[in-house]
Amino acid sequence: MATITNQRLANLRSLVVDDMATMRQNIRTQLGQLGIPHVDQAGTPDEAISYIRRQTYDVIVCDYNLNRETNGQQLLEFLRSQGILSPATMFIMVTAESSYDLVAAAAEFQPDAYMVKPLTGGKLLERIERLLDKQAALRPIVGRLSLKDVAGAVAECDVVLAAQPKWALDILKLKANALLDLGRHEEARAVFESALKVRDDIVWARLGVARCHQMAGDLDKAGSVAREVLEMNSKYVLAYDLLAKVAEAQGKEQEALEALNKSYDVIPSARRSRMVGDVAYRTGELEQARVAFDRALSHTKGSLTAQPSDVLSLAQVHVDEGNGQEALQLLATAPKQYAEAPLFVAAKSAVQAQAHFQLGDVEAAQQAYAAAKELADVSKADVSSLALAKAAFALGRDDEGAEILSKAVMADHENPRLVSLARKVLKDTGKEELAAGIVDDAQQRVNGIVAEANALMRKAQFDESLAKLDEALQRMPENTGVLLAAAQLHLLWMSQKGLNLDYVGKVNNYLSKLDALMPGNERVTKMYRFMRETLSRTGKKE
Amino acid sequence: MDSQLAAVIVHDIKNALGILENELLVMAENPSRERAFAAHGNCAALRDKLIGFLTLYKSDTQGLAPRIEAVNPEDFLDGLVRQRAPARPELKIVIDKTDMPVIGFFDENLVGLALEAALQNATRFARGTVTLCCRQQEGELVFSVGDDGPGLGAAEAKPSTGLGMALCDAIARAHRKGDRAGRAWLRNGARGGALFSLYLP
Repeated sequence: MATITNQRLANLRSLVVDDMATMRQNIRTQLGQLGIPHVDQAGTPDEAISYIRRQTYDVIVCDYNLNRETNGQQLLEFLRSQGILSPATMFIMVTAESSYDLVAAAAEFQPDAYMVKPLTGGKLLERIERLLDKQAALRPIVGRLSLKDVAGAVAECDVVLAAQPKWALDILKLKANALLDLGRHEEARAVFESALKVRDDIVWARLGVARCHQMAGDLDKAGSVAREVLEMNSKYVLAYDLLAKVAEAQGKEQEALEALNKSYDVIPSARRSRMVGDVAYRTGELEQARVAFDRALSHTKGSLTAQPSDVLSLAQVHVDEGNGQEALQLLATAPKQYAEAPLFVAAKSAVQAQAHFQLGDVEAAQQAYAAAKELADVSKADVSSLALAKAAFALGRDDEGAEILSKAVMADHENPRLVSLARKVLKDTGKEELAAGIVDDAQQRVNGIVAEANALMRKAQFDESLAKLDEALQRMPENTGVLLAAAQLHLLWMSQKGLNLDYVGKVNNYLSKLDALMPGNERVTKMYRFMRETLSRTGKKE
Repeated sequence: MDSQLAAVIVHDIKNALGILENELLVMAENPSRERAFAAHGNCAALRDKLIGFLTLYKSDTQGLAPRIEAVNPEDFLDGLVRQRAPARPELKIVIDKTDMPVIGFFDENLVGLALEAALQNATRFARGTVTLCCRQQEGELVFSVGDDGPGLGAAEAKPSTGLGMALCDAIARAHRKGDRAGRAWLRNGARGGALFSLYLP
């Protein structure tokens, strides 16, 4: 192999992930010969995760077979779902020719390329250059998206499509998804359909049509299109996810659970087990929830991909099943480093309190409850608040339980998952009759604050209106409904009275919080758009 | 794969390994850059044969499930030619871009294997030029590899094992759309020489 010098390659930072040292060394040599001097090497998924957390890579070449616990696909899933991987990183998955199609067929998180062993320098060079070309072609669109200018990205799609027809399918996909983010489902559907005119069996475009039906509120149609997709490709797990969402929205919880279970059969990952466990728990299917959380734990045991919430969820299921002893044993085996997170300790103590009470040790239960109460942050919509409320009701402290639960609901009163779990706490503790007084009341109280702020704004009492929401956010800093209202009213203030740099900072702050709390949410996307429009009307740039 | 074919292929691979062994022995005594390149080329060809053999074996035992993606055929063919170790430096490999579609749908790893096998075959017979092209024809994507050699039925110093054609056939058939499946043909070209074509639905 001749040495090729290429400036584009010389600046690439790369990471090779392979459990076999000789293979790593081999790929490193190949990359070196291509003129890529910066090559880090990781021998395990954990090593790879710590490298990627420390710095951003342009290219990651990852072998599919890593170790018994985690394969390359699961590593990619973890990196993408935790948002650790930069969208600009090219992730190349390397598989043996015997497993290549099986790996690729059941992959929810797609790498930028699959390559089949043996890798040669020539093949790597060719693929990396093609990926670089694609990145360069799509940069105007991806750049707009990273600035949250979704409408701008849509406009850019048309420009790039005309100039770069060879990436037409990628561009149509970006455009349709951007339109869905903006809630413009009719236009999105037209784009998905134009992709299907190029080839009628493109699976993402078919499912895209189903998502448009879902957004238009036609759930039956969304479900039937998703089922058609699965008939064509039974391994396309995103179709199961859509079926589950549609079924849940229709109140058919068993169907939702069934769809998620099937998706786990296709991709038996910790993340999928967790999804099954959450829905199973909410619908009261304790046995399924136990199996699912247990699986999530064993998938990630001893690895950096382990999540503390799995231990808590499983322990709570044990308590709900009447196995306090097992709950206590499980919590005692939680990794030591979890004890550094106060929220984990709070939730753990709240579950321990319930377990001790169940086992008749009232004193230990009271102690654990006190510790949980001390550490819990009820201003945040966290599972620990719900476990704490449950412990309070179990210990007969109904007033405290009601207060904790009320604050937990107010922390994010429009979050359907939180609200349904709050109702479940009351049901499980035999206090269903309190639901109206606690859950409904908490929701009405927050809605009342937002309504008052809106009314003040209409009466041109701008500052009072904004102060009202600021004060509410002091008490419930992660309430998504209040954050959205606060962003909107600050922008309305500016559209009336002109630019205010303090307010621009505030709105940016609300929106970045919302982004973290509900990524990819349509209402948040719309608010970003409203901000851009407001700022351009007030005559200044962001 | 019938056992007769398997035996012939393994036999062929064994012989190629023997040649490589010899080349290495000669080089150990008398190192030269040219010989190293030739040995490397033979080694790469041997490796491709083994991959072909394993893919064919897989096709028979568990089937091939192609990963159909939208690919620009020109980039794909350019890459295929660029990353090849040249078997005969005097040979020209030309990509004919006439009527080439902007996007084709196929599994580039599998089709890459098939076209490499076809290229290998064509370079054995070509006098001076091998031509690659890709066209859209009656709803199918057609890749062709043509050479300017003597055409089919010519006497060969070393007869082919049939691995290449069996592999291409398996890869073509694995590409399905609705009730249609792909196919692979080897015939005489209109302007002489052999013409290999891979039809994908």
